[in-house]
Amino acid sequence: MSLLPSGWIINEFPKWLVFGTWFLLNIVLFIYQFNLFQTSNTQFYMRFYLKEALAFARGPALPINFNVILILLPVCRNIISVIRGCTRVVPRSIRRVLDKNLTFHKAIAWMLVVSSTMHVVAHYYNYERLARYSPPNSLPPGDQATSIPTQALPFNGSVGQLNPIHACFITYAGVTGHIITLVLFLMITSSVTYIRRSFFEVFWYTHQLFIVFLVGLGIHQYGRLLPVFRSASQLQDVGLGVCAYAPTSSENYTRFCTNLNFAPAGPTSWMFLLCGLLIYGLERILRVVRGFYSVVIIKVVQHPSNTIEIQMRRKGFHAEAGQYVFVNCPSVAWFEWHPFTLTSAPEEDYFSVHIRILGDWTRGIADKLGMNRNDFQQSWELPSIYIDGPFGTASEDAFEHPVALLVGAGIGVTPFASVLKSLYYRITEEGSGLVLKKLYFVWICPETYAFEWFANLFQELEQQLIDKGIDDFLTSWIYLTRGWKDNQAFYLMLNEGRVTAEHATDDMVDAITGLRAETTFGRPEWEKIFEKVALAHPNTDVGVFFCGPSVLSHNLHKQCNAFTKKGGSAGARFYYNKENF
Amino acid sequence: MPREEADRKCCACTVEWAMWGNMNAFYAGLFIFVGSVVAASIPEIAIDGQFPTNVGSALRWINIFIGLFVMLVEYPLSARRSKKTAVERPGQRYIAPILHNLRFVGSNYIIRFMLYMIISVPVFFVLSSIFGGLCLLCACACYFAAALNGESWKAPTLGWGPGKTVTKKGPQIKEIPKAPTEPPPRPPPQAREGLMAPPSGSPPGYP
Repeated sequence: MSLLPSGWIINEFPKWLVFGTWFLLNIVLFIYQFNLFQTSNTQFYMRFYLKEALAFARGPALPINFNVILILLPVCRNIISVIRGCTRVVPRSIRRVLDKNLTFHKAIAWMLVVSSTMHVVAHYYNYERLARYSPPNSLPPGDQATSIPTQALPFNGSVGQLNPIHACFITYAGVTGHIITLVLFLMITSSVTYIRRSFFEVFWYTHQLFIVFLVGLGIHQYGRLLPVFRSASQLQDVGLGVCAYAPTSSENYTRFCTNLNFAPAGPTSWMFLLCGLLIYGLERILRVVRGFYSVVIIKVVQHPSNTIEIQMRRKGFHAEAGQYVFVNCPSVAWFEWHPFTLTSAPEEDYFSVHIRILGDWTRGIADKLGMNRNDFQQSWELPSIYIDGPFGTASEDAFEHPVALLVGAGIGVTPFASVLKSLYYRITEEGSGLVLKKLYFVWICPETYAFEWFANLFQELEQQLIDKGIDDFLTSWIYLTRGWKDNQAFYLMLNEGRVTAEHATDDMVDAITGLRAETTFGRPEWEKIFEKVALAHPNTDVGVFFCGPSVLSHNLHKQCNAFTKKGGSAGARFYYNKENF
Repeated sequence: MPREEADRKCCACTVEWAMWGNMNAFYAGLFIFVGSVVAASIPEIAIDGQFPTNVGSALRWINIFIGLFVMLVEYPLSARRSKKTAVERPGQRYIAPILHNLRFVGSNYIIRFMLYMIISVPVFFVLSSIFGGLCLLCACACYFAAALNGESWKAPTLGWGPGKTVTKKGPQIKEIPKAPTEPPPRPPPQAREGLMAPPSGSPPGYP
């Protein structure tokens, strides 16, 4: 047994390795740049005026550039999906790190915020000091450096004579700096969880300002404000201090300091930006190319509880189980791409999405598909639909573990629809070499009525498995957390939760859902479930797949680590996988 | 499942601009404060033994108070219109009553919009608080949209709030039992049924 719990190694280590490396790189870049500006001769004279604030302003610049390259990468969903798709080359642990893409996007964004704040505050401080101490004023009393040449300062040391607004809005750095910081501010405030969850449109449209941010950052240094001292060699013998301390009338001063060679620092950010933008450009091209293929709608099914299912076909479309697509319908909204989980199995000859009608867009598309029409809708009357995707998520890997525990909470069951369907095809196919031997499925929902389509699908699967005589393959538990009435519970208690199935005389099904799976009220006791699974499968890899709210996710994650540790080397090993939610 | 699909759960509700406005204004106040502190922290230089009595140094101090004022006003979050989730900042129940007692001055967003527009003028005359000022203007735009949208600040019902007493639920009684017709002392119900069945004779223990 190693020093660290093995659950931590398999579930956390790859993620923290990437995160730690990134964080360390940021620190190293900051210290390198900070040290450079604190010690180099090129900024010798500027440091008399600005002290450490110069290094504090320039230090974060390198991490900002570094993070600007990185921030676009986690949102390149096509590229990530391509990398994920190469299952032979890319090991599972890296694929699991790729699933954390949005977490990395957020971490990078926060690093940008921290370094920008430091940069902005330090530059304001620099400006205020220059404005007060540069000629015709002098450095604070006690400082003997009275004869610094004015070329060593921005604006030839005339900042003090400018008014602040003017000084801020005549330079590239001032104008672009204020604009891009404001843009960053708006992007951050609109993506705080409770605003993003409540008003997705505000978040989405504000995030499109990233173009302004990138362009502004690219031209931020174009004004070449920072003078860099180029000719340190000519002062080698007398020392740089001569031009700061020696009286302007002395012989040394007139000999060495009257025509010092200063040149402005050139812009560098654009090089960093270009790397990120090239990769992002490739991503956008991929999106456009993939979007060009037209989609044929082959069937629209209306389900209870305001849900419609659209079955479609597209040339060259292939999706794995649990993936999602972005749907665009130009006749409803030109620029809106809405994500939906695929509910069809890869083995089926079409792909489908289930859309629950909640908002304007979903209602619009339902009307276009003829949901509220009484007569038959001709196929040429159907709207054209474009699809971007599919994009990969973790549930593809469910088949690669000997034992899998799928946990779907609320709306989070949708990705498991295609997983379960696909599972059926794989079991029935002869010689498919399926690694998966046993599947546990836990479905937690407030009430089942919103997911009747899923319950129906699940019921079919159960029946088909029984017909094939492999009913021990799937064990499932359903938990209703809310939305059950007192009399319902009473009825259940009387029948001990089971009533005789109408279609199978000697079989018992659940009274609420009509499934063979047992329905329990309240929340699941994870310790018992994990213990059951761990006891049944010693020395086995168990893949735990979860889709649902984050509070539950943390709990499951902890259970996975705890039970992997508890089992030791001979026990079950739980690999935790979380769907983005 | 894509994160956006989960995020879009509430796509049916309309945008409450004041929520974003509050977010913007609170951090605008913070940036005004920090910027002004940075400016005020650098000592003025005495020229010929006399400190300059310029407007700039006075403005720096005024801006520090403006920043603090905006943060104080924006600290308590309003109750949500769609009463779905109430988010509160820690300890906001100590400040929310002040805003609540100011009546329409505290709750009307058009007043808040105009107040911030006026307040942001001195902010733009000190360089290091200009960024905070720009943020405050964005917040103003949000509040203007909120006012047009008919939103107003309401004291949240969690923790402190006048709504607390209203939302408290008592035991719910579906049917009101009928008032007794006989004066006490009354026999137990079983005994009374026996009493009703044979109309004649008095039950034991009944005078």
